[in-house]
Amino acid sequence: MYAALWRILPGPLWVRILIAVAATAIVVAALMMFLFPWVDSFMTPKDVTVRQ
Amino acid sequence: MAKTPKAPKESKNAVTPDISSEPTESSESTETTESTETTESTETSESTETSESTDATDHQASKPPKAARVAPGKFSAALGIVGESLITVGAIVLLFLVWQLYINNAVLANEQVNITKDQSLAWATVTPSPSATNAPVQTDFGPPPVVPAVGEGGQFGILYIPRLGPDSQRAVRNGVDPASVLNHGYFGHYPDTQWPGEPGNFALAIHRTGWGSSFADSPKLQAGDKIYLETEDGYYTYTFRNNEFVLPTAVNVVLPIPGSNVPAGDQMLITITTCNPLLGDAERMITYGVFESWRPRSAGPPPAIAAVSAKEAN
Repeated sequence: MYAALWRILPGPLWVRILIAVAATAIVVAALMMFLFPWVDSFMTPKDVTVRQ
Repeated sequence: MAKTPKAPKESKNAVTPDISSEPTESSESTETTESTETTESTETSESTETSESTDATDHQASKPPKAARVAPGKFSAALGIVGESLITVGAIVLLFLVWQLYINNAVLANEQVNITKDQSLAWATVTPSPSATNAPVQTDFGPPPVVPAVGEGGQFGILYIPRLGPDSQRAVRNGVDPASVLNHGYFGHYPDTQWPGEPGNFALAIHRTGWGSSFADSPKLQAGDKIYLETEDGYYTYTFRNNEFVLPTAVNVVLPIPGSNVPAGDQMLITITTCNPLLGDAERMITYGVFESWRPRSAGPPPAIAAVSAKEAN
């Protein structure tokens, strides 16, 4: 999967590395900005209150 | 050159007997013997023959491994995709934990610092009068006013606990709803408990870690440490008394007198509930403080938080 992705990247090695790093950064940022807050809203947070 | 297609075929046919019986090989056909000979000694045969024979031997040698490479190739490629997907999911789960414990925490903590700064500025319509700041240090400003009740989710104060470090101040909102109050780093006021300035128990809840909380170090509080509540009217000073560890069902800690049903009298307490242990919520850690004094906004912030307030004003 990743090998195939690596193969379709154009350019010399340093361009490929640059593209790969940038793509990873974009994916991580998208996860943190959109997916994780959404997932977090479904998670039961730690309860800090006292109640019966 | 017409031999080329023939030679591999014959040699292929000859392969099996080749291995088992070497002497019979020479009598079968001259072509096969040539090809086998060339493999043994390439110098003696012609150039065309060698190319043919090498082709043939290549064919012989490489065909079985090639077939072996293709069949598991598809399987291992599929396995590879599954494996890489699992690794990716694992990495995303770890990343989620990093986000929850550190990144989201830092983002919300930073947001809280901005919220408290804005709130403090919004209240700073009454500037401390110069005469008050120059006057000899006055500590007794009489009985504190009762903070007017606000609706669920309303913001009415900023809590400063200098022992917990710089930028540990958090805004205080009414209500202990996780989604709207606690999960944004606020102190949440138990709506059924008393308000500051009112005899009884001013009870708050806050996350211990994550969600922008600054309360993880609360066990480091020492008896006598100050807890300051800034409201629109001024500053309420509480003195830290003790921490207590209770079960989550110990609702009596937020009673006017924690743990008992006696009326509050004129005692004013602050109680902060948070979770314990650090990353779990099997227990509750309760922080108690006793009301000490009150000063109006016009008298300026208490010296201990004056630096923070000055930073907020800039």
